[in-house]
Amino acid sequence: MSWLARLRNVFRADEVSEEIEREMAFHLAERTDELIAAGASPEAARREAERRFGSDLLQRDNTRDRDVLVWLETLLGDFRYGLRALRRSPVFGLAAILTLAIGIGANTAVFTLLHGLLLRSLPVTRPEELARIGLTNLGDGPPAPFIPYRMIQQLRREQRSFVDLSAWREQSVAVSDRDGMKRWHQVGLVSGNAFALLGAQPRLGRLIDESDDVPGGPAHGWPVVLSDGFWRDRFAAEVSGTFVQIVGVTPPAFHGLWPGVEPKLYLPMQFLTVLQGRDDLNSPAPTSVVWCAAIGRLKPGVSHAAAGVEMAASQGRLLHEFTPPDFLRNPGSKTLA
Amino acid sequence: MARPKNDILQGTLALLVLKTVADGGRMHGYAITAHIQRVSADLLRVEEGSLYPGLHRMAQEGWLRAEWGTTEKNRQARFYTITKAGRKQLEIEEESWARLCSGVGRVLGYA
Repeated sequence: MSWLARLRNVFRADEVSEEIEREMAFHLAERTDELIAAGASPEAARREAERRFGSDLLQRDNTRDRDVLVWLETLLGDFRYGLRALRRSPVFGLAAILTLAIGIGANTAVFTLLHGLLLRSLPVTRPEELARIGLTNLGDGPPAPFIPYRMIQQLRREQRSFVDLSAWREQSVAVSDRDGMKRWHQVGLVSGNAFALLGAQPRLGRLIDESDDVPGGPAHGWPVVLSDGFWRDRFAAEVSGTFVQIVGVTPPAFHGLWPGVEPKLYLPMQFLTVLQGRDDLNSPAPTSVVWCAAIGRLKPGVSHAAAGVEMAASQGRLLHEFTPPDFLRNPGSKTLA
Repeated sequence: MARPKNDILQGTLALLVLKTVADGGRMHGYAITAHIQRVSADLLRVEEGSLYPGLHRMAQEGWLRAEWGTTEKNRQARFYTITKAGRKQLEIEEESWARLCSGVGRVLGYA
């Protein structure tokens, strides 16, 4: 499969999320109109409509937009100054712009916070603390909602705003039923800390934990957690030719992170090496990138805005270290064009 | 998770939405919320953050059909209609709700 096709596959879950965000935007607009009709000022109406979504995130986003405007104006000023300098001394100017371009490329905002509203509606502990981190600098268009697995691991060690970061990935896997029939099911691969970070409690047994998510799998074999719905329908014992042990069932109200892509089973992220028959997770080769959703929980007292600032200030080094070169936006081209 | 008291009891969202759409025909999420709130005389409030993921799940289950359309105010909205499977599910949910009520009623000594 080509890189692009693979990336597109990974993005499908996000189309659903985007559709829901569009629906929510419509809802906000209608509620705002209603409140204005009832006598509220447009601003108060908007705030109240957002509050009813249980969100003050949107408010913060607006603030960030204003900051970006100021930053753009400053940049434009620098650019004009650069042009004047270039006219006076072309060779020096060009060298200066190249240096600037390289400098900007290395320090450009790499990470950004995504999807506030959807995570806030999850039936987990304090969902308002959850945030999803996206990646800028990949091709054109909006930030990519998925991050290479190994980059998430490195970011986990370097960041300070979050209690921790977890990795989520959904894919279709052939599962054998008890009667031997194979069916394709949506499977969630999660890092060992993913459920603990959500604060999710199992309906039965236990959920995937850190001791499960080790290269090669735990000594007692790969564990699998069934979604509540799948548990009630029927249960499976074999995934892609490997016997796995059912260790628990997810809480009934939990339907996965993204509506429309509810996994039937959850397995440790490291199980991917079994599914793929090769080690893309831990291999340092730059072409073997595993794209995952990065979900973090903010430390107490850290706002989304503050975490956003930390993410935006992260060094470009991570990007270059863990992303295949085809995906990178050429850092210099935009500035020089 | 502290929730306001009048938020809809877990599991009854599907019942209320299916009932609303079964009676109301083609509706968008905002109209569904408004209807539930109005008909229940403000006793029930749909938690807006969980309504839309819930609607998507119900569409995925095949209980609702969803399509994008334009409102009278010329806004883009996703409209829902109930399917045959949805009507069947509504019957199941109504029945289990009745059972729950009578059970709780007995325990409280009202029935």
